[in-house]
Formats: sequence, C-alpha cells, structure tokens
Amino acid sequence: MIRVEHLSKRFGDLEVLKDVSVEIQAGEVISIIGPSGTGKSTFLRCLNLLDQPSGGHIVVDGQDLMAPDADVPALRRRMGMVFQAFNLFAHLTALENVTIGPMRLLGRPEAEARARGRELLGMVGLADKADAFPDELSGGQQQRVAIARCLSMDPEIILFDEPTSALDPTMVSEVLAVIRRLAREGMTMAIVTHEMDFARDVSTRVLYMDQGVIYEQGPPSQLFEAPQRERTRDFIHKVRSLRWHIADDRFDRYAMVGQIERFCEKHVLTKKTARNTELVIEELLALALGRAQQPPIALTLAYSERNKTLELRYERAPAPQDLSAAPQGPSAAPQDPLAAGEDDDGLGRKLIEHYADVIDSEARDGISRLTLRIRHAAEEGNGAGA
Amino acid sequence: MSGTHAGPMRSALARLLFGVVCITALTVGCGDRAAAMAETGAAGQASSGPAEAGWRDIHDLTEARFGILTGTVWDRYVLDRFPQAQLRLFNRQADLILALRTRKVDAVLLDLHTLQVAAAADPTLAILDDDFYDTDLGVGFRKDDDALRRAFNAFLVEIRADGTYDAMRRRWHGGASPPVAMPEIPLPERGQADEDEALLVGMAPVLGFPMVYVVDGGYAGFDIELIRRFAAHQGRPLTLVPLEFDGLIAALQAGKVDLIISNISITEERARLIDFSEPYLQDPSGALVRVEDLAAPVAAGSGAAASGPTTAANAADLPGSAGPGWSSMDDLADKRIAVLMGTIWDDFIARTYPRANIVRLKSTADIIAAVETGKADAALLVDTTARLILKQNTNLAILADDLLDMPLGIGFSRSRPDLRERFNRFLADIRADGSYDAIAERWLQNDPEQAEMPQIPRPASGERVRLGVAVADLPYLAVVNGDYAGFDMEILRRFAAREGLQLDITTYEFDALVAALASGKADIIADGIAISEERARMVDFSDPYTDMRTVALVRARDMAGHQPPPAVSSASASWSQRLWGSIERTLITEGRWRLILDGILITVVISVLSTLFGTLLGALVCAMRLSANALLQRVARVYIELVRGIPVLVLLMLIFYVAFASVNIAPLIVAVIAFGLNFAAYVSEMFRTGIESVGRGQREAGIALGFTRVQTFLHIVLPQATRQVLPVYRGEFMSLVKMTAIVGYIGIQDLTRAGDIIRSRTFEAFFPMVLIAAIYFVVIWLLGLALDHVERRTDPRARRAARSRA
Repeated sequence: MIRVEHLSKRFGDLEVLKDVSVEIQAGEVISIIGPSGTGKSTFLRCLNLLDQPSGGHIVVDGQDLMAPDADVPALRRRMGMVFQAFNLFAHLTALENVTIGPMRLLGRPEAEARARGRELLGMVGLADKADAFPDELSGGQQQRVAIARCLSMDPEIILFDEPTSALDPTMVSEVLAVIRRLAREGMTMAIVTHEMDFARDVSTRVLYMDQGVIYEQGPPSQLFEAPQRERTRDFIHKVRSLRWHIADDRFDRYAMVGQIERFCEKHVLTKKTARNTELVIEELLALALGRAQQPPIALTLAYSERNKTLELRYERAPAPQDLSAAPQGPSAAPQDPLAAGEDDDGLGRKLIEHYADVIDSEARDGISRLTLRIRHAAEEGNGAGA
Repeated sequence: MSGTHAGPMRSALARLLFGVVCITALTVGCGDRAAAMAETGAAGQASSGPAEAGWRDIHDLTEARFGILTGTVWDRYVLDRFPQAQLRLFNRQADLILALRTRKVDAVLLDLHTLQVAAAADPTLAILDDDFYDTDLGVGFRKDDDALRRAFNAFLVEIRADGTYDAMRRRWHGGASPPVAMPEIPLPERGQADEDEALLVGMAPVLGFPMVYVVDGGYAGFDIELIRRFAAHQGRPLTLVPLEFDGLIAALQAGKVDLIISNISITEERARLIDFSEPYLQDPSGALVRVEDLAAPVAAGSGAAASGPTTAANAADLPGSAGPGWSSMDDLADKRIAVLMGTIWDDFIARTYPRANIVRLKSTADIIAAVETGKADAALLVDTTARLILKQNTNLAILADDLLDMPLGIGFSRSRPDLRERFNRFLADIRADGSYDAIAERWLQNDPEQAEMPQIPRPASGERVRLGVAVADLPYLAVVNGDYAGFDMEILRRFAAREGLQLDITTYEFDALVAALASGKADIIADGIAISEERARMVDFSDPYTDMRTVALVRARDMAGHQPPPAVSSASASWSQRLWGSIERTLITEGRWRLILDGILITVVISVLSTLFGTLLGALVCAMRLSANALLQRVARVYIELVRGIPVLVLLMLIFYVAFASVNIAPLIVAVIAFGLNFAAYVSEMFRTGIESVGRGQREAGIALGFTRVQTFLHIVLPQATRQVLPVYRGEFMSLVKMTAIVGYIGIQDLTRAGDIIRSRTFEAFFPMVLIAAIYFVVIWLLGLALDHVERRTDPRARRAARSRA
C-alpha cells in the first residue's frame, strides 16, 4: 500500500535519514523502534509529507506523493496522524474536533457527522466528554479524542508519532488499549514507540531504525527475542557501550582510562571493576598489538542493564579490500591474542583470566574475535575488598 | 457563575449614569463654590499652622517649620533667630513650594525675587515678609585666582556705569513672569582655540526664575545673563556646568570650574573657602507662606495697597482687597495676554508690547476661560463680542477699547478675481442704497444676539461657490438656530442672492481659513478677517466692508477702582438651578441639541468606516508581512513603521492639504482614509501577534487531517488568533473613536466641533465639555458592546459559560 524507496532527509548539514526503503501492506501494524534522534519521527512525518523529504519516493497506492502534480491534501485525508502532543484544536469541543474533518473535508452533513462523532467518542470511551474542550481533558483523554478524530476520516492507515511519550504511566495504558483494539479490527498502522512490550504484543512487523537507516526489521519474535545484529541487540537488551578503534599502540591510553572510569560510574559499577577492566584491556592490547601490518582492532565495552553483564568485545578483521592484498602467511593474519605466542610467558593470559571469563572466541579467515565477560561486584556476591 | 446574566448589563448602566451625574454636578457647582469660598473670606478658616490671629511678619514664626534650600544661608539665619523652629532642607525650589502647599512646612525662605514668581503663579501662597534679611550676592572664585576676580570686578564697574546693569535689573526683576527672553550676547565659538580658553562656570539650575533657570534646553536668568556678558567681555567661549547648589564651592575648589554664580550670598564662612567678587546684587530675602495663614488685612480696600504690590496681588482672593489696579493697556505691558490663534492681535501685541507674554488659544471661549481662571491676565477681542460676553459674565471688565481698529475684508481666491470684482460692486451698491446701514444696525449696533437673520432667498441653481467660515462668534459669523448667521453672513447671502450663486459653506478653524483658500478648498473666506499685509499676500481681499474695534478684557477685580460685590449675591442660585441653566443654554436654546446629534452621527460614521477600512487593510498588510516573499514583507514592514511613527493629526493634514491638494474630495473620505491607514498599521501587527501565538501543533494537526494551508488558516488558526486579538483590537478601536476628535482641522463638523460651536455662543467652559466627554463615553461604550457580542460568539470560554448556563 505504501512503498518507500530510498527516502532521505537532511536538515541543513545534518542527514537524519540516509536511505530508507520499506513497504507497508494493508492490515500491517508496523512498530518503529530505535534510539532517540535516529530519525524515527522524521520518517513517519515524511510519510504524509508533513516534513518534505530531501530525496527518494513515497508511493501510495501507485501515486507518487512527491510528484509535482500530486494532490497531497487529498492523499493526506486518507492517512491519519496521532501526535505526541495530541494537537487537538483548542477552540473546538471534543465532538467538534471529531466532526470538523468530515464536515469540511468530506462534505458530510452535520447530523451524520455528529452521529458518527458520538459513536467514535463512545468507542474510545469518551462519550460523556463530547462537549468538553481540550483543556478540560486529561492527557490520555485528549489522545483518545485525537484517535477518534483520525478515525472520523475513515483513513486507510494511521500514523502514530510516539502517542504515549507525553503521558504519565497511568494514562499510557488507556491509550494503548485503544490502539490494541484498532489493531484487532485490522487497521493498518505505523507506530513510533518506546513501549517495547506493547510493540511486541501488537505489531506484525518491527522496524529497528538506527543511524538513519532501517537497521533491522522482522517479526516481533525475531527482533525482541533474537535480534540478529549487534546494535539491535544492544538496543533490545538495553545495552550501553563504549567503542574504540585502535590501529597501533600510539592510542591515547589515558583518555581510555578516563572513559572507562566514567562509564563504570554511570552504571554504578565499583571502582574496582573499573580498574579490573582497565587491566584486562591493557593486557589484551599488549598481547594483540606489537606485530606489524595488522588491521586495526575494534574494541567494545558493553554493559547490559537487563542482564547486568559487562562484556568486552574484541574484533580484528581486515577491511574487505585488504583481504586480497593482505600478505598471506601466518605472521600477517590476525590471530587469537590469547593463543600462546612465541615469546610470551602466559602472564598476560593468566591475568585476563583472573578477572574475566572467555565467552566466545573465533579466529579464522583472517578475522579474530573475542568476547570476554568481566566479573564484577554484582556477580561476585560478597566480592568486596581491594 | 450562573443566574446573573441580566444583572451585569443593568448595573453597568446604573453605574455609568451615576458617574455622569456626579461629574456634571461637581464641575458645575465647583467653579462657583470656589468663588463663594473666596468671598466669604479665607481668614475665617482656621487650619493647622499659626495661631488664630495669623502671621503678620516673620517674627511670628517662632515655632514654625521652615523649608530651606540645601546649602543656602537661610538655615543659619533660622538656627540663630528661631531656636525653637524646625528646619527642613530640600534640594529643589519646586520641592520647597510643594512642601509648603501640602503643609509639610509652614514657611519657605528664599531670595525675594524667586518667591515673587512663585507667589504670582499660585494664588494660595503669599509673601509674608520681605524686610528681615538682606544678603549680598557675589560670584565665587578660587583663592588663588586673583586675576579673574579682578577682571570680573572691573567688568561689574563697567556695566553699572553704562546702564547695562540697570537694564538687566529691569528685565529680570521688573516683575515679569517666566519665560523672559534672553538678549542676544554673541560669544566666541568653542573649538577654535584649545579648551583652556573656555570659561567654565558652575551654576545651580535648581534655583529657578529669575536668577538661574532652565528653558528650551538651555539656561537663562539674571545670573546667566551676567556671566554671559562677562564671558563676552573677556572674549572667551562659555561653558555652563550645572551642579547642585551645595556642590558649587566644592567644584570650584577642585578646579572643575573657574567661577561659580547662582544667587550665592557672601558669608564669612564661605569667604574662608573661596574669594568673592564685589557684591553684584543686594538680595532681599522673602518668607513665603500659605495665604490662609496670613492675618486678615486691617481694613477693606484701604490697608491692602500699603503692604506693597507683592502681597496685595496674592491676597486678591481676600475680601475687600483690590487687585493690581490696572487702568490702562500699558499696565499689561509685561503680563499674559490671550489672543485667538492666527489673528492680527498676535502680531499687534508682539509689536506694541514686546515684553508681554502672548497666550494663543483656539477659540473665544477658551480665551475667556483663560482670563477667568487666571491663566492669562487679559484677552483681546472684537468689541462687539466682548460686550456680548459681558452681558452674562460679571467677572470681567473692559480695560481699554481704543487699541486697534482694523478694516475687515472678505477673502477671495487668487484664481477668482471675477468674484472679487462682483463683490466690491455689490458692496458699493448696498452702501449707496442704504441697505448696508440696516445690516450694520442689526448686527453691529444693536444686540446681535437679539438679531434675527432675515429670510434671504437662496438660488436653487447657479454657479456653486465654496465659502469657508470659522464660526468664531457673533456679530460676524456664528451658528444660530442651526444655521449660519451674522453680519458677514447676511452680506454674503445677499451677495449670493443678487448674483445667483449657490453657497457651499464649510466650517474651519479660524487659523486654517487662509490655508483653505490658498490650497483651493475654498473660493471665499469670511468671519471677521482683518486685512493685514501678510494675509494680503495669500488672499485677495475685497474692499473693507467694516471696521473692527479691539478691546482688552480683564478680570474685573484687577481693574483700578474695582468695588468687590457684596458677599451675599453669589450664593443665591442653587447648584441645581445653575445646572439647569447650563443644560438649557447648551442643549435647548436654538435647538442646539441638533448640532450635537449631527456631530454624533458624523463621529460614528467616520469611526465605523475607518475601522472597517483599517481592518481590511490591516489584514492585507499582515498577510504581506507574513508572506514568504521578501519584497512583500519589506513593503509591509516599512508601511507599518512609517505610519506608526507619524502623529495622526499630521497624517490627516498631509493627506488633505498635500496629497489631495487641488482635488475636490469630501473631507469625510479623507478622514476615513487617514484613520484607516493608521488603524491598519496597528491592526496588522495585532493580527500577526495573534497568528503567531497559535501553536505550531495546531497547524500540523490541520495539515495532517488533510486541510490545505489556507483551510488550516481559516478554520483553525484564525479562530484562535481572533480570540487572542479581540481585547487589544477593542482598545485600538476605542482609541480610534477618540482620535476622530481632530477632524475639525479639515473642516468636518463632528461631535467635538459641535461642542466648540456651542461653547462659542455660551462661553461656558465646564458644562459643554463635560457633556461632550460623556457623550463620547457613551458612544464608545455602545460601540464596544457590539464588539463584545462578536467576542462572545468566538470565544470558546464564553461559549462554555453559555453552555453551562443553558
């Protein structure tokens, strides 16, 4: 029903959407999740041209929205939008809000519009608030009226832009209940939301947006239970991480130390944990660096709030174009840094293993990966002391 | 909350009527009550302050509270002589006087000249004593600056010898009131030589007239003139440095100034710090007190004159005391004389009595009011007008009637020499056949108020001639019984009848008549216009058709030999009778209420049309202002700034006299255009504010719903913007209605002009003005109600309130 091709949007120098392509079929309920600032709302607002895209195509039932002769207001009438800030018309009552569209845009007679309006308000549970003004309603009530307003136009798809982000927890559920009902009745919807549980319940497909593209998409079971890609995983598991890119031993160790300490502080990990982490990293790098002509190391320190685990990921992989040019031979290929080397005394390894567990290790085809879990106070139970 | 819907309307009306009645009663009763009070004697009213008997001279002030200027000598005087008195120090002369008036002090000690000026300006204050303390005034120099001091002393000797000093004394201490013109004293320019050349003089403007005071952004006064002359004598440029009085000596010592002057008394104490010049003035001190604290004068009429001109003039309100006792015009040589703006008397006074202060007012009624209330001392008028006024007004009297005789002429446009010729022939004819004498007898010799304008046939067809008049007053031209009448009018009607001309008559302000003729808005102008050289340059006058005699009217009690009326008579008419009398004269006589009704209609029409025009134009300008097109935005902004920066009156006259100079356009249309343009500038900004105050989310919701931008604006933004804007809009509308009061300048007879016309016949100040104000209030209130109705329909809150009441 809606096909988006290579959508891009930039605000001045800032490229918010880089290249988004997706198709939305009738009857689907699409949840769009992702970190803040990655263009989720912008994407949604581009769908009904509330924001003008910088490039790409949006095709609605065969009509390109961005064509110069497109009747955009007519197309918008077939799409509804629910805003984070509700945006009810302040000078009209709830019923008038719900009838103004049909009366003025669809040309329905007043009696019919009012009857339908009451019906819709009843459906969202606000039949007795028909004559209330928006400033007399609570946030949740306003949002429900806003949904009724959308429905009054008999839209083919409703776009929800963070519908519950401005509501306090008590009111969130009442709005979600309405949306659930709509989903049950088969309304096509695209919802930008931070309510993960809700998204998992109600969606037919989930889009995870990150860095201006659709990073991963799939059925809720996949996205939420078994995210395929790293950043998705991080997001789902509420993982926070630090990343470094280390080419040789001229990197700024002191800056790294500072970052590690701040990171641990932020996640309420002890200073001991921070020092242990620093040690582990130092040893690992000492083992890994030192040989010439090695590709750079990507190091990630990740903390999962959910699982309360602190992980260190090490990856060394040549850039694709280097693979063919890389000198062959054992001395040039990345190896597992923990593997025994020629002139090492195993001390580093022992140190590392004292503070961390090796979760995963892989070294083949010129790629070396290592995942360590660093033990920290929460795990060690009564692990106090120096 | 509920149930009081019918209530507010009724109670508001009641409050309104009550307020109007109160104001009217107060003002009508007020003027006469003050006079009644004065005549029954102020001395009888014991108030806080002196003992029952009142003060006779300064020695009675043993326990009084003295007001003194900081840093002056009188504090020493008081501390020495009146150890039990209290001393209050002030920084400014004005504060001293205010303190005296508001009973914060009982007596003010200052130099006599300054106090004389204060007493002359305020009849509730009087000089108690001027005989108790004299000081010498000197100019201050630094101890080491002998050369400058000797130069000054030499200068002083010179000007005493050559009469300059005496002339200065006469100018500043001759009893004139401010402002007095400073003579031209050329000084070398600053900046040619280096800065050392300039003479730095420290002085204290707080002292006030006549020694050092501020006028027109500069300084003037006896001391200022003295020091300017000295600077000129020394051939040096002059820099005046304003300081506080008590900082003068310090500034001199610190070298910030070369000398100091400001009524500085030479005292031993000061002489220890600085060197004084030879004394340049003997300065008597005065004690200023409230009139009511004075002891009653000894006998009616006789003793008062003996206490000297200063006290007598201020105690004029006391029973039995004479005024200054003027007997001829020369007594007014340096007084304030009120004249009608734009008349030849202005010039006459300037030439004949250059020291007199000319007060220019817009109408005869204003002139009379000025003399009665003491804002002017005399008024120059046409003698027939003066006699008319004296019929009703016993407070005024004719001082002199042989001042000036001027021939009057009818003014003709330069482009119509034919009309002039015809008129001159007509004039010669009616002089020859005796009809002129009959007309003159009717209007100029007999009582013009009794005269009846004869029925003169008005041609129904024929050339249309535009006649501009100023309905100044009888006997020449006024509005009587709703139509123009008077000597000039009868002559012109007869002329028109004979020549078969139709007269289109428009009323202007007197001083706009010549302009109207010159700019082609009128072909003929009349109303007692005296033929003068200056006017003859712009206007072609007919042959003189009569002579005008000028008289000077003054307050009766200021005349020599005036016998005050017995105190009994004033209280006879009760205030309600007086009120009824005013109502009768203002509204009923000659059906003057019709004038007012017409005026209301004109005012309302102009207001409503201007508002409509202005609102539409304002919406357009707002759209331009908000548009994306940079040029349109620019134009809109320039328009708004320009129009808001010009006074409406100036705009009105620009459009009428300049933009539509030779175009025959109805002044009403010009008024609507001018006010509309002005209103539009304000309205457009109001709209813009309203529109921009509607949240962005509202627009987005509208767009998302499928409204076009225009539809979103109309159905969603505009209703909300209007609600924001209506209160301010209503205020601007009320302002506009009041602004229309100026349309008299372009010859429109609105409500204000109607009031002026009535006043020009009744010469009453209060009642007509209060009435006009009340009518404006009612008109604006009613128009405001209409706006309220609109507001109620658009304001959701009102709808909500209505809903909850339903």
